[in-house]
Amino acid sequence: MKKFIISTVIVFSSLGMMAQEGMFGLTYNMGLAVGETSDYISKFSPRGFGVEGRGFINDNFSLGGSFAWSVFYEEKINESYTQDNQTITSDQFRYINAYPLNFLVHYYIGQYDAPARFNVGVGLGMIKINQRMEVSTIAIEHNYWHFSVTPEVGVLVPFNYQTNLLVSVRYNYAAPSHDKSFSYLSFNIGLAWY
Amino acid sequence: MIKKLVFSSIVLGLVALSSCYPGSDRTLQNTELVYTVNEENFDFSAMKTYFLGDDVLAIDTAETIPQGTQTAILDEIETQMNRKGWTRVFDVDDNGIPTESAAVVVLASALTGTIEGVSYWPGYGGWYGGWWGWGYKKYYGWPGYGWGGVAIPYSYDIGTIYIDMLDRSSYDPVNEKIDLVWMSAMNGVLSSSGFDTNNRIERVIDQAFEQSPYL
Repeated sequence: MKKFIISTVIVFSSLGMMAQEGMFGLTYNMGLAVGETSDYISKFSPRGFGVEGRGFINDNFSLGGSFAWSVFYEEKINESYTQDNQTITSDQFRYINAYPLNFLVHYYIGQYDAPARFNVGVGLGMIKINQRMEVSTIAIEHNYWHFSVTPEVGVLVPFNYQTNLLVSVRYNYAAPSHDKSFSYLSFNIGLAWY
Repeated sequence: MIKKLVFSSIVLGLVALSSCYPGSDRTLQNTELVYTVNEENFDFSAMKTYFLGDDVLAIDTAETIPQGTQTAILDEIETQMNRKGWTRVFDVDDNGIPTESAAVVVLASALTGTIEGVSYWPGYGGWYGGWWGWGYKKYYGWPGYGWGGVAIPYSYDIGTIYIDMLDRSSYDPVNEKIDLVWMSAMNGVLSSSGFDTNNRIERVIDQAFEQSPYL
């Protein structure tokens, strides 16, 4: 966790130096696992948050960084699994904690003072995935860093000169690491301040 | 700027609180695990007679399985075997070995043990922090250890019941060997209530037979 905090501080500090104008955002993040990850947890996640900073290099482009935490959880009660001549039945408690840490590039459509600024972006960085299955008195865990690619679409709606509604949808892809890859959508809503 | 940061921190804290680690409200039943494995080439339908050992063997010889627990285990095995269409036989030879009137010999054994460690609420580095406060055994904790959470040493008793089904016709008295054709291991956290223990014994043994349709 200390690594995350230190890295996030470095990212945001560097943005502040290079940006003409900075923006800080805080979002409530909901998540939905997709692809093979949804085979493990298909339940919608209401647990998560994100922080991000963007520095505008001109009216239509920004560079930035983000950090988020999403918790996915699903129970499988009295599940039986059979492999060959063996069967195991138990309650399973499945978790994924995802901590993406990305550099961001955004392109903004329309004028700087438009009533809503739609934007597309992509994040590149690392994501820490803690996948955990608790069964009876044991736990099986995958806890590794993955390279990540995070395309997104979003919109900024200014409330006033300083404050904006920030809404975005991100596709978080964690590239294979230790034979596993992960992907999920995050639906983010929050505020951003210039 | 300061106001923004303060406001942001408050919102962030509220969101983080709302993200409390899920799934910590578990019961002892959630710890139950039933495993079965069978010899694929054995024909369980050929002759459906069985001999059931009179006692539940304590794998740890320093331990004694309470008579009530033994009775609950053996009664439920008999119930399930009979439900599957097996007939119990009692014939033994002069050495106390079940005769071949039994197609299979069924033996039960049990093992208890204690698992100890440290978990970090909300759920990092171990687990079962959620048991703190349940009052089963030795749960205690102190704040401020580890990041953003509580280190909770845990210690809880687990019990495992084994049922072995042996092919009587394969018995080799010279080398004292016999083939295992079906085995079940049922694991879970023990409770301090004997009534609940017996209910759980019935439930896991029932599940072991339920997931073994070939018997």
